[in-house]
Amino acid sequence: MTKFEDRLRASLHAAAELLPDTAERIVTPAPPTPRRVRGPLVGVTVMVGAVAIPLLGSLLWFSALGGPRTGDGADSERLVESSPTAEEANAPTGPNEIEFVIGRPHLLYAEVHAPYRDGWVQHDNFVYRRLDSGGRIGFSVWHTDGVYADPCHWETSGTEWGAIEDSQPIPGDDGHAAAFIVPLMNQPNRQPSTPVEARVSGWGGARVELSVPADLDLELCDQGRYTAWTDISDTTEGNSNHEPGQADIVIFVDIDRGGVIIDGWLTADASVSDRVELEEMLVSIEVGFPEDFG
Amino acid sequence: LAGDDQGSVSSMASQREFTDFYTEWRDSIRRALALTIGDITIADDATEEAMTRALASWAKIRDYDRPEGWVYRVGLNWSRGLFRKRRYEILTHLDPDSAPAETPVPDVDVIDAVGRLSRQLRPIVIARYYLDWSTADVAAAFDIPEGTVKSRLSRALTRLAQDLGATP
Repeated sequence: MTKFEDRLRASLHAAAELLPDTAERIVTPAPPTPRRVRGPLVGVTVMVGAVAIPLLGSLLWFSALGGPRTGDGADSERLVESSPTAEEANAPTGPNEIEFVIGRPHLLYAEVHAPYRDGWVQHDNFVYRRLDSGGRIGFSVWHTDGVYADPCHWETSGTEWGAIEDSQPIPGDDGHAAAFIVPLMNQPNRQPSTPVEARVSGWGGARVELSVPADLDLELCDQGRYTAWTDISDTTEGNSNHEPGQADIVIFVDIDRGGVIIDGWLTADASVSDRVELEEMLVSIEVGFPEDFG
Repeated sequence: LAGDDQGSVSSMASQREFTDFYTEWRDSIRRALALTIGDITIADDATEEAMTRALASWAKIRDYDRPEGWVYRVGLNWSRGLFRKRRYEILTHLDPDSAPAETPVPDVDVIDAVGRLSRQLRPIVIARYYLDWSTADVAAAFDIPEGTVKSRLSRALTRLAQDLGATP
């Protein structure tokens, strides 16, 4: 080490020694700071365990966070700012619900409707099957202006838009869908399917299926979130409702006032019948202008 | 030992192992986080949050080369959410005059200069010069190439030296 490095090191060690000690205390797992927006998939914080640890003559209790899991089951669930609580997610739905209307302030130019289906609920722009009904499936609706180059390191990776490559044309697309889908397909370790033309309520678009790496360690991602794209409204942290092993069915609907993105998801533990149910829900979605729906 | 007994012995061993890890690293990580983000209260919470997550994921991270690197990084990630709209603080509540006679007194100019480093450079500097991790360990902890660690350290030292009017 140089003298300057020695000076730096000595100062840091001395400064650290001056910091006050904290008295041993009863440890609570997470300060009540809502900070994660990862959607209803991980919207439930469940206390699953407590381990007593004798330490320095004191008895400290750590309450381990846990909950529904996929992958190796080691990732803890997180607080979610705009996601439903367990009670909300499993709340009985009313008998008068006819359809889901997913409209957001930044999506005033379009509305997304889906028929009500027993056992499904809505929270903001998320529609999903209740959490006690097997594998977790659902969809959300987005309007974005950027796809993160690396969803795990989204804070520093920057966003892309319009990276259309001639070698990857999407059948039937005039370029609008590709501008979104191609950067998505280029995200690392997403194992994208071949994009195909999609039609929703008569509007053209494209559909691609991607996966979230099964060995993803969310804790090591920026702010603990795997964020695929931005939210143009800036009211959420972007499309970050991901967990390891999840599959995403992404549909870009190219309507003439802008693009609407439908993100269908199913967790790694979802069954074939779960997928069928999700696909049935996705094909029943209607997109249009508010006036179209009266 | 059969079946369940083996499992519970294994579980107890794992708990002991985590307790040892916690005892060894909690204080260092806490102080490192305080030096990095400049706020001892948030550092306290970030440390406990990260340690709680480490316990929940202990079966996985116990096999990492440096589980403490994982904890430091998780603590930083956690605290980052609180600093989204503002810069990290500069550690201000150090009082060298309060140090016992035999305790080394920090160079406040150096600490202030560290506090003016960017969010990208500061954690690397703290990991290298306070936690005394090798560049390879810092690289493993932050999941970046060792060459990147070295270049960031070089950049940080240059900035610090310029700030302090010293030679790096």
